[in-house]
Amino acid sequence: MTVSRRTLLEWAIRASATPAGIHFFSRWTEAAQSQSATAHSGTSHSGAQSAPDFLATYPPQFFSARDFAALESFTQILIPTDETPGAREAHCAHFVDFLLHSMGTLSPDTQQQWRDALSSLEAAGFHDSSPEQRKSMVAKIAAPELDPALEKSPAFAAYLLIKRETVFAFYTSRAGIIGALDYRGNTYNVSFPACTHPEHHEI
Amino acid sequence: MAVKYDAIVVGSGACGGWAAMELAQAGMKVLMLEAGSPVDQSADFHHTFLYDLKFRGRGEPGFLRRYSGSERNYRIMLDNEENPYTTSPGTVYRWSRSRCLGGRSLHWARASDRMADYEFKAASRDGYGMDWALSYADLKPYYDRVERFIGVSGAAEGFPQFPDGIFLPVMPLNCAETIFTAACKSLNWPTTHRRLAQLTTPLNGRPPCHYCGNCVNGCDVGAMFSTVSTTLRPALKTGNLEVRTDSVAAQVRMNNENRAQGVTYIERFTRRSVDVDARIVILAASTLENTRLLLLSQKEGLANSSGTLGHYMLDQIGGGGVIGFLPKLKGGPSRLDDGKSAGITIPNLVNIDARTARKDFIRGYVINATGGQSEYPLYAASLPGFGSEWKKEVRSRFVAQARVWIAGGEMLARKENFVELDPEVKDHWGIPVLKIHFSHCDNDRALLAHFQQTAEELFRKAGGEAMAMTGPSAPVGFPGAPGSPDAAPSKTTPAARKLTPSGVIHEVGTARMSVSPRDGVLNAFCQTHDIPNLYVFGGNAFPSTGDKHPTLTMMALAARGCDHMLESVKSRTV
Ligand SMILES: Cc1cc2nc3c(=O)[nH]c(=O)nc-3n(C[C@H](O)[C@H](O)[C@H](O)COP(=O)(O)OP(=O)(O)OC[C@H]3O[C@@H](n4cnc5c(N)ncnc54)[C@H](O)[C@@H]3O)c2cc1C
Ligand code: SF4
Repeated sequence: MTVSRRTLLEWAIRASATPAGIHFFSRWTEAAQSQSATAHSGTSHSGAQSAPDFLATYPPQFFSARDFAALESFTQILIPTDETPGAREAHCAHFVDFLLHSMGTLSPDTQQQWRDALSSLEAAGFHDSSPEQRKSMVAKIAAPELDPALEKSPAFAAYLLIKRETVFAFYTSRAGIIGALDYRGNTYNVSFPACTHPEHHEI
Repeated sequence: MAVKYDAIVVGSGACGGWAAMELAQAGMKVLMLEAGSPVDQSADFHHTFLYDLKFRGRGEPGFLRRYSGSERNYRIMLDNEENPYTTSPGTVYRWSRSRCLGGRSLHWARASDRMADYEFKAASRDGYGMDWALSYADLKPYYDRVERFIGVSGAAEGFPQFPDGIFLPVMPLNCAETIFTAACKSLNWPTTHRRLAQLTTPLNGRPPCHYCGNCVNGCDVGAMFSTVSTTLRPALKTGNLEVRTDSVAAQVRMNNENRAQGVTYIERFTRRSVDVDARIVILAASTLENTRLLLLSQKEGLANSSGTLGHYMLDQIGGGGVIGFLPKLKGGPSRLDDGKSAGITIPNLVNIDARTARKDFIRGYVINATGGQSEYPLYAASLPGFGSEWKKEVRSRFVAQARVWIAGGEMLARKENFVELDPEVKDHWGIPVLKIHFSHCDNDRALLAHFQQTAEELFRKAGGEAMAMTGPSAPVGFPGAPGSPDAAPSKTTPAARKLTPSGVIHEVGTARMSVSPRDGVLNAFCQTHDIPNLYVFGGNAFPSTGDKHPTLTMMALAARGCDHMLESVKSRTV
């Protein structure tokens, strides 16, 4: 069974009713807000954000430290930090970890799916590989996504699962939507800018 | 003893707000009953990004299941657990409601169109269904009055099937909308700016829009029309209006002379039942709630001598559409694209006259199109690949997003689409809920299929690259299951498939207007045929949907009904 983004979030929301969930969410929000304060006051539309304090020392709560490190590295290969922020600045792995942790005993299936995902990466040797090896490993695992004729390795499902959640965590973060995509909406403007391109007026 | 009011208005949405304002300004003592809580736009509405929200938009614990809407706007939506409804087997209908001061006017999409005589008189032309009991000329002064007061931005075009109104200046088109306009021009199709109840200049003490794009979450400054921003303030200023929020109307009470005596409502929190009396009762609790109240007020339904109450339920046809990218825009500079939440409108092109008549279906549909940046890149998870190249591709497509959707397709009125009281299920206050029986017919499906062809033709002409499709009524390319490889963008525009029509939250009918009391519940003034001091404002009166967004017409009908009421009070016929 593949779990849709929506399903995962639904679980997260139910789970956040647990005391542990509420605690995490409130700290998470504080961190997000301190980042967004920068967004509103500054004119900069890109640039990496420094990690909020509590995330810098964040101990993984769902994954083992070893799996969490592997997941972090995987998300950073998927969405690397380059000229714009990546999964590192958006703390995508943290987001996934706290969602799964907050599920408590509500969603054993999803939690198992993620454990299996990390196990299949472990089995493929991802955890013990060097950063360079990891990159080519992900490329190999992901190949059938571009060419469905290729054979899918056992880790392909893990790739799709991690990608889906990483993409959500990234583009709902400030690092993703402002930093990487330079989104200009949700602001105060005197007028709405008209298209000024002659080439758009002709087909 | 209860205070005696001149009029009770049940509901504070677009129609209730209008009625309360007009009647209070005319000197009537008005009581407004609103089932939901009060709303203060400047205190309650704020700009927020997804990352500001605890749950990134998905809502507090349990809310996702309990509330329609999102983490941002659930407060101006409705608690589904307190307010259930049921459907017959086979019915797929999502009834989207709001319970709060202002109702759905607080989060609606603001598209404000006038209907034309080819819609009001469609039955005379093609022989199906029933004409409206009025014509455009009857309604025109009221369209004028409503538009002048609420403020609608738009351009006068002279299209006979899309009557012009009293307009504020337009909002300029973004790049995607400009390209779609050019595509229409080369196809020889008419287009105009989407007509929106959003201010482009100050009006009646309200400031103009600041193009934040937050409209569906509530406008913090009141630049978009809502009861709270526009009609309530002048109504309260008269001193003639009393508003009771958290007051759930449960039935209309009658006296011995076949007149409405007043309304019984239940205090939302204490559940105490309260009777209030008035000379006139106006139901404006939204189309289906109005009909529910009539069904609750008397066995077989109040004002139902025609037997049509509850029947001929309608909603405009939705479904299909195209989502994808405009290659011309790929990799272009960032710009504000979604700050007006607007688009362009392509008026109906079929079945307007003999030349455009079709053999495979009757009636028509209107198309909208827009594109550009949005607050979340929905396509990203389905875009194959990863890494810096993938990220660049996501960015490059972000400004090039494009979509074409059906604004409203006319659905045919059929008696077998109806609402009734569910014999078993009750709401939080013990009031029986509605059971909805709703389905589409072949004409509806043929119309939607034709829309789909037209939408794809437009997309192709604009040079668009559509995404692959999923789901029976999902737009082409809408990633129904994000991340699933089958939702990946494809270069080929998919051919029209067998689409399943859905509703578009434009529910109307169930107490249609008629010339003869035998054929409907209301007359052309939205007064019940059976009970002279009972009026019903909302979409109830619509004998057919037409292809325009319905709310402006509902408000014009309410304005006309108020005039009629005030005349009747003067001449003592009510
Ligand atoms: C997301 C969305 C987008 C839309 N976009 C458009 C658009 O672009 N153009 C368009 O024309 N239309 C649009 N609509 C439809 C539009 O919102 C409705 O047609 C319009 O609001 C109807 O006005 P109303 O006054 O009849 O009802 P509502 O606005 O629904 O108000 C009804 C009020 O009555 C109250 N009420 C209900 N039951 C009771 C009771 N028992 N006792 C007391 N009070 C009660 C409710 O709490 C509510 O405040 C949209 C709707 C939605 C949901
Ligand atoms: S876009 Fe304009 S009308 Fe909509 S919420 Fe912002 S200011 Fe209000």
